[in-house]
Amino acid sequence: MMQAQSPYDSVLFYYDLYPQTIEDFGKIKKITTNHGVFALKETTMSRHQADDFVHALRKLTKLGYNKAIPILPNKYGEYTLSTGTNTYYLMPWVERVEYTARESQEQKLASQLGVIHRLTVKTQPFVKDHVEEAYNQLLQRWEMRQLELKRFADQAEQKTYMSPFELTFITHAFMLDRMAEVAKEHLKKWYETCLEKEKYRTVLCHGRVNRSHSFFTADNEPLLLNFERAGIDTPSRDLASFCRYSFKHAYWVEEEVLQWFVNYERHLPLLEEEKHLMCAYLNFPEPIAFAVDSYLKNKGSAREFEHVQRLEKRLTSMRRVQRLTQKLIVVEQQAQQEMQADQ
Amino acid sequence: MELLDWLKENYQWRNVKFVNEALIETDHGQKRLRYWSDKALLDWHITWRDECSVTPYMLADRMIRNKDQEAAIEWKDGWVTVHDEVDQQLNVVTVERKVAQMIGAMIGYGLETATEVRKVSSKEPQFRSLYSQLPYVKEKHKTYIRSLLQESEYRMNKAKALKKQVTEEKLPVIDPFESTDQAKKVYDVMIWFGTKHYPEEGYSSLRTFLGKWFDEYGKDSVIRLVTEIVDHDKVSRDQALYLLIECLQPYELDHLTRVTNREATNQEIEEALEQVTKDWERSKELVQVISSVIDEKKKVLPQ
Repeated sequence: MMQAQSPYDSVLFYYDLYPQTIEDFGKIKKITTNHGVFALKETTMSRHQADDFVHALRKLTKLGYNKAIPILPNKYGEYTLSTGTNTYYLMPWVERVEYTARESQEQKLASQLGVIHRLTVKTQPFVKDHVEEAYNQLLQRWEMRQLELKRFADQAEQKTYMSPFELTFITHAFMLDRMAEVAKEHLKKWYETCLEKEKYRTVLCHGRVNRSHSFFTADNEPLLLNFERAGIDTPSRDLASFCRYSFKHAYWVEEEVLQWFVNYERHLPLLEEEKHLMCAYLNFPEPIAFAVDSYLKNKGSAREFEHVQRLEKRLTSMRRVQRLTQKLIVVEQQAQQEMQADQ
Repeated sequence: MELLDWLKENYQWRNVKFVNEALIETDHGQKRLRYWSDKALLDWHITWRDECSVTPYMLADRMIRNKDQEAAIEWKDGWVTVHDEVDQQLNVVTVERKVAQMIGAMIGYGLETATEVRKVSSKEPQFRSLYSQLPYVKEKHKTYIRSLLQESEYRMNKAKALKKQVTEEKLPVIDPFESTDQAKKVYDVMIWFGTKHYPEEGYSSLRTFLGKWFDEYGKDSVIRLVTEIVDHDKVSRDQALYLLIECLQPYELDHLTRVTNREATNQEIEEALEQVTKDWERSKELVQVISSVIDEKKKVLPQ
C-alpha cells in the first residue's frame, strides 16, 4: 500500500481510495484515483448535524427525489466520517458545464425547491406552547438586534465627526427600523393566522439553495448539493434564504423574481401566512446587523472603505427587498380581491 | 458459483484472485476473508468492531460492506466476511496511547453491551495440584517449587483480599487478545486485528498480552500502556483492580503443573522451571506497574 502523502489519506482509506492527486478547492478536495474522480467535502458539521444531513438525503432518496448529487458510502457503509474537528463526505466529481437554457438557473432551482417541499410537506397541529415559544424567541431576538442597531445609531449621532460607515448607516437608520417593524408585523400575522387555523406546515428545508450549491447537467437540469443545513422547518424559511442569496443573479428584475414564485408554486402553492413569514424573514435587516457587527469587530483594521462598500451593497438590497415583498403580498391580496369579485 | 465470483458480484470488484485460502487480491488491495458458522458469534464480532473506534485514526478490522451494505455474505453453510489486510507494523513507542484507547474502548463496549453469545471464562490457577507431584520431583527442585507454592498461596490470598475491595460485579466481555502483532498501521490509521474466537469474560488474555508487551517492548513502554488503559474513561478503578487481580493470580505454575502431571524428563522439568522463573519475574514487575499506576490515579482523584 502507498505511504501517507496528505492529511486526507487516512480519511480516504475508509473509502479504499488511494489518491494519485488531491487538488484543493477550499472545502472541496478533488481526488483523482485509478477508480475515478471524487469530491471530498470537509465540513465542520457536528456528529448530530451529520446524522440529520444523512437522514435528509436518505428521506429524499426514499421519496424518489433524484436531483441531488449522491453521497457515497465508505467501505463500512457509513455516509459521513467525523473526526474530532471535521466531518467528511464523498461525492462523485461533477464538472461544471456551460448553462445554455433560456430559463434562468434560479427559476429551475425554485422549481426544485418546490419539488422537495411538495414531497416532504406535513401539516402540523398547532401546539400553542411550542409555536408561541418559537415565535417569542424569534421576536425577542429581532427586538434585541433592533435595539443594537438603534444603539449604534445613537452612539454615532453623538460624535462630532462620524466615520463614513456610521454616516452611511445613519442615513438609512430610519428605513431600517421601519423594515424591522414591518418584519415584526408580518411575523405577527403569521402567528395569528396559524393560531386561527390551528395548524401550520413544515417541509424538509435544504437550508441554503443557491447557484453555488447546484450543478447543471449538459441538458441544463439542476442537481443540488450541500444539504448540510437541511432540517424540518417552514417552507418560508427556505424560500427566504433562497431569495436572499439569489436576488443578485436576477439583477432585481421583479418579473424574474415573481417567476421564481410561479415556478415554486406549481409544486406547492404557498399559504397566506407562509407568505407573511417569508416577508418577515426578508424584511428584517439581519444582513445590515451582520455588517455592523463585522464593522465593530474589525474597526481598527483600517478597511473602512470595504466596510462602507459592503454596507451600501446591503442597503441597496434591503431597499429592493422592501419593494419586492410589498409586491408579493399585494399580488396575493389582489388575487384574493379578484376571487371575491368573481364569486 | 465459485467463492471468487460470489465475492466479485457482492463487492463489485473487477478483479479478484486468491493469494491463499484466507487472503485475496482485489482491485482495492489485499483483503482477508474470515469464515463463520455461528451467526450469534458473527453478529457479536461485527458489532464490537463497529463500535470500538476513534475515527479516523484508530479502528478495528471492521467488516467491509458489500453492495447492499451488508457486513457478511452467505456462503455454503455459513458466512464470509471481508477485512482489510495490512502488513505494516506499528512503531509502538508512538502508539501505546492508541493501543490503550482500543483496549479501553473494547473494555467499555464489553461492559456496556449485553450479549447472548457463548463466553469463555477465566480458569482458576492450577498450581495446587503440584503438591501431590512434589514427592516425585528431584530433590534439588523441591525446595524451589515449595517456595513458589508458598508464594502462590500468598498471591492468591492477596487477590482474594483485593476482590473484597471491588464493588462492581461485572466483568467485560471482550475479544481475546492474542498477540502484540494485532495492531498494524496504514497511513496514520491504526488497525486492530480482532480474532474470530468466542469472547472471553474478564482479563485473562489481556494479562497475557501485557506480559508479551513487557517482553517485547520493555518496562517503560508497558508503564505507558497500562497508564493509558487505567486512565481511559471507560475503565473504572474497580475494572483496573480486576486487571490487577488477574495478574496477581499465579498462572505461571500452570505449565509446570502440566509437565509434572505427565511423565516428563528431568530436562523438560528444568526447562519448565526456567520458564516459570522468567514468567514469575515478569508477572511480579507487571503487578508492581499496575498497582503503582492505580495508586497514582487514586492520588489525583478529586477528594
